[in-house]
Amino acid sequence: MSLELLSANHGAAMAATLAARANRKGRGFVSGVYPITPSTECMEFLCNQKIEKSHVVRVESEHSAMGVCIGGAAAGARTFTATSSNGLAYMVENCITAATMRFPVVIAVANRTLGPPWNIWADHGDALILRDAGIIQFFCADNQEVFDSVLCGFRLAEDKRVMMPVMVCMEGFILSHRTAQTDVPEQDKVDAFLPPTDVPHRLAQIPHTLGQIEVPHQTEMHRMQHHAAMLDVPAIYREIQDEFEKIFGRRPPDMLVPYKADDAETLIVSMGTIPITAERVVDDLRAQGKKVGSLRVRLFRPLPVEAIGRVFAGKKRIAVIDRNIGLGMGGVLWQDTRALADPGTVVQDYLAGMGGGDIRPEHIVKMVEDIEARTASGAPKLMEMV
Amino acid sequence: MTYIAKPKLHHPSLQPNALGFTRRDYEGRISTLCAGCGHDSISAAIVQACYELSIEPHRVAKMSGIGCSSKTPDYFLGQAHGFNSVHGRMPSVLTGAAMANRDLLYLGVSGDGDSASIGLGQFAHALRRGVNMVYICENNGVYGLTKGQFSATADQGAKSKSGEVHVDSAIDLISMALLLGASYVARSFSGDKKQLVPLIKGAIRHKGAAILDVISPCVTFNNHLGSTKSFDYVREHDEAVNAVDFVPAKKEITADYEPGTTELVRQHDGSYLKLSKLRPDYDTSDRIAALAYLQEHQAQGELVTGLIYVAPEAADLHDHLGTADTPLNTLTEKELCPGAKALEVVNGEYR
Repeated sequence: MSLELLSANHGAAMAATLAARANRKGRGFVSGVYPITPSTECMEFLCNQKIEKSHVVRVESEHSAMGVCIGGAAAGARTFTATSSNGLAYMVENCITAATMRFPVVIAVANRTLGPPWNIWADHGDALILRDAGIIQFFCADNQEVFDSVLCGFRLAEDKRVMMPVMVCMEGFILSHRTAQTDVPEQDKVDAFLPPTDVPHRLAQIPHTLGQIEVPHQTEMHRMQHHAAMLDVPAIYREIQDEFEKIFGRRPPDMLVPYKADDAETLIVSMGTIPITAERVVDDLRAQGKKVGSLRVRLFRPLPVEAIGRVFAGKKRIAVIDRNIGLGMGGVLWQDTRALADPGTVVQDYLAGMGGGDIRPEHIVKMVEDIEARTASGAPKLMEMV
Repeated sequence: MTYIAKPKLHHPSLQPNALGFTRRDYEGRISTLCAGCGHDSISAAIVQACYELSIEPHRVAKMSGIGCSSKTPDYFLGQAHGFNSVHGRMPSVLTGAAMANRDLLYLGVSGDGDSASIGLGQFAHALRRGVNMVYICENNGVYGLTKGQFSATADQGAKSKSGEVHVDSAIDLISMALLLGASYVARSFSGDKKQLVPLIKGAIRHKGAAILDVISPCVTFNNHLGSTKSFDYVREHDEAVNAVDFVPAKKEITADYEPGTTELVRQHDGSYLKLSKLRPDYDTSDRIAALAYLQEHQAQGELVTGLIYVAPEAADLHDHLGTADTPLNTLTEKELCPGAKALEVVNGEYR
């Protein structure tokens, strides 16, 4: 292993490069890329790498970028792309195609607010539009995690029991442009971790057609197969963590990261980089004698509901922080997790950092003060970032 | 996008136009583009054209997509309407607006990435439909906003700033526009205001789809040796087919009209385009010949500029669809339900 100073964008591209090289003994690597702020540096880095048996195609749009990945995967290649915000929104049709056709494309997303009006800063709303599309979604907290999640993402996406796209999310600028020390493994270890890509339904020796029309019961069957495969992901991810640890000598982060949660009366639940701040707030408030804990949701789809339910059990108060809003409903993380709490637990949604506002420790302290003053759950509340 | 407004100062020497507005009244906010950007020159040319034509700013809708070019509507006609749409999708938004209110002047401002890369489909179909608009493509051959990747108009063999040679074929928006049926087709250079301003004025007064491809060097990412969109390269290879002088509708033509060397084109609104022929064999009314001429000269490395083609009496989308002269968004119930007598007349036509 070597330690390198990499931005998270470059880390994602470096992991994709190693994964691409690892497939030199397989059916090669194909990527379609199109620049968009703040994910551009990821595709730039990838374009500058020398990778044998590889083509990185600079296409004319995000839609086509995913199209190239779909075609590449259909021919059996390992595939990767990166995008942000409206680029992902434009890519959605083909993301759904990659998912429903069960192609193991890995997508690095530098989360950015959807426009118009235009805003280039971080917001989870872009990735969340694909919440229900049959794509595995990881939200990362630091550079190393982005790198590891891309590597694990290939392994997970290409597992025959899974066989679907994996999205690795990093908040735009907050992570995408932050340079940090990143542990980059040697190629031979990556080769050992990532066996050659094998897409079983690729267009190969026996001629067949992908993407034909189907009747309702076939659609039902395909959706349920896909759903069942998603439900298997947590168990398969644990296997991959074990394998990763065996080869690289360190363990990639769990899909859920509780922090001082066991005896907490108030639990802060969040995704992305927010939990890192929350964990500091937990330490500060613990020092004052408050029983506060944090839960970082790293794997958002499939949502590990049983494991979350176990962390939620017995908590008096659960404060969910959403850097997004499901308009007409409330924060998406809150929507998905509030039913997992015990009856009687006060579950309160705090909308914070939408459009890229900084979520600082004092904001989270205010949330804790607010929820401690409550006796019942309320409507989602906007925390003003002033 | 800028939040810096220009100070509201009017120098006494500024001449008012027929509306009483000075050139200053057609400006926008302070540009945030790189110093020397060709796009700022195009903004200045739009300001000049609208001032000289005495266009009422509130009768203009500036439509744009995404990119450096699409930021520029903030920098001119600050008193006009603006719509910053999504990447490559301005033409369809403009089409919808033009359908609902045909009274506004639709000024589409886009770039080569927005029009030729991600938005090629929409670009093509808006021209094909003959949407009544002025479509200005500020063409620099690179994606400036994401730091200089080649766009689809970058010439094959052109070198990027980092020395990479472009291998894909270039899309020529002007040749495409000719094929697609645009009725006013022009190309200019942001560094040639004398040519650009009258071309914009002619486009504004044209009825139908008017397209101006304006080569506009990116001073930061595409203005080096080896680029075919740099100031030096364009100046060296600019081959104008004509020099255009715009003559407004009510102005009597007394200029030095010399048959054979000068051509007068009367537009739908009665205005004239006075074309001084720099290439005696060039005919702006022959679409097929224009296309062949473009291709031949491009093959020789020349950048053909000027008014490439014009069909002054072309039908536009409103003609094709038979839309009412009154804008859709102002039609009243009285006009929609003119009563039994009017219905009798209509029914009578079918008896």
